Amino acid sequence: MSRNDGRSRSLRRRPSRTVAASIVAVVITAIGALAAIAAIFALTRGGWPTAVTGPARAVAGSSWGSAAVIAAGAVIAVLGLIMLIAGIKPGRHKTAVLRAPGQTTVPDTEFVLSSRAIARLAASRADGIDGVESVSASADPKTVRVSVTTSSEQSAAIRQRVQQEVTSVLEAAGLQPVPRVRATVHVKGI
Amino acid sequence: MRQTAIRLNRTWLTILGILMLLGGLAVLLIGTGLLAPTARAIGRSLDRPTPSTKLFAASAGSLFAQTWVIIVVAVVGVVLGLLGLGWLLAQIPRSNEAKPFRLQDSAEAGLTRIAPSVLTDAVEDQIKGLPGVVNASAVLRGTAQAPDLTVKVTASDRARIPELLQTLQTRVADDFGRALDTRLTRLGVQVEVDTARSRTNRIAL
Repeated sequence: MSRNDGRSRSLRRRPSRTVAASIVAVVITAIGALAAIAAIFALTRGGWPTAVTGPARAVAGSSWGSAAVIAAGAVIAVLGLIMLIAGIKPGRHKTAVLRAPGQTTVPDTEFVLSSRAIARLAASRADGIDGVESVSASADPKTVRVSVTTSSEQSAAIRQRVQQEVTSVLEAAGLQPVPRVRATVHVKGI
Repeated sequence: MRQTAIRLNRTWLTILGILMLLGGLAVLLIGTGLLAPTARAIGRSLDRPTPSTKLFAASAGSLFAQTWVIIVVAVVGVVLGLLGLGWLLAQIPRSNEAKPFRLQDSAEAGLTRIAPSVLTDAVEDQIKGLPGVVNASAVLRGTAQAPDLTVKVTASDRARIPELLQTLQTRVADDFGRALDTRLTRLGVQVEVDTARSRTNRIAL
């Protein structure tokens, strides 16, 4: 799929594995550059640089059963497995679907709320509850985790209220389906 | 909003991952002496290399001293370097915006072209004036006959999101369509929430 075709993609996307791809791309670029530089040196100076011949002789002199070669094979296999999993595992969506409100003349619409926005809505609503002193929240499209701190002894009541209020604000936002809300309460010692 | 190289990354991570996994497993099989038993188990006969075999034969050194081999290494190195650099540059997110729209192109009326930024600036200004909206950005894709608008709206935590979306898909979409004398074919809206309370100059009583 080209990114020069002036066409939209769905806003509900899986992770693009940018970090893993960037690391691999840098390694490939470095290997290619070093190989080219060493070869140009060999062509112009009539021999490979000692920085290449030294390690090359050590590698060539090793046997398949040596500890270093077996360890290298294990490392390559593990890295390959990690890259394979990164490539095929879908990963979580970073946005949740919002219900399309009412009628429109636009034939194709897509409304989403980011996971970060869900967490902020949850934290903002929980922060307004009586007895809550501080809040932190994290979210994905399926679950919202809200952690509040209070100095009140009525932690069970506060937890229930946080769960209800946060669920209510997410329903009011139009999330479809509404994520499950998990609230934990930490009681501060006085 | 901006598009990333999802398919490119996943495809090449999978291909390279499979190659490295198979390569690593092959080295382990040879190094631990399990190559021959494993080959026999699948009906093949493979008794070399053994764990005591050197990685490279003695003639490998003289091979790499030949000029044509050095040239091949240089070419392969340059190609690898360029491919890696290309893959790295592909990580930059792109807006994939539409080319300038040709609204009229006739011998009588002449040619009218409009840059997408002119339209998106107007849309962003309209959206920023809506209640509860802190910021907005828009990207226009598609063609003049089938425009495709994607908008990122940052709303305050007190904004009524369903009402905001309704306004976007009716008033804003209709105004946009009227400006181009056509109908919007696709509207995508991504909502963000900003909890900072000091950005607006309005007072709620």
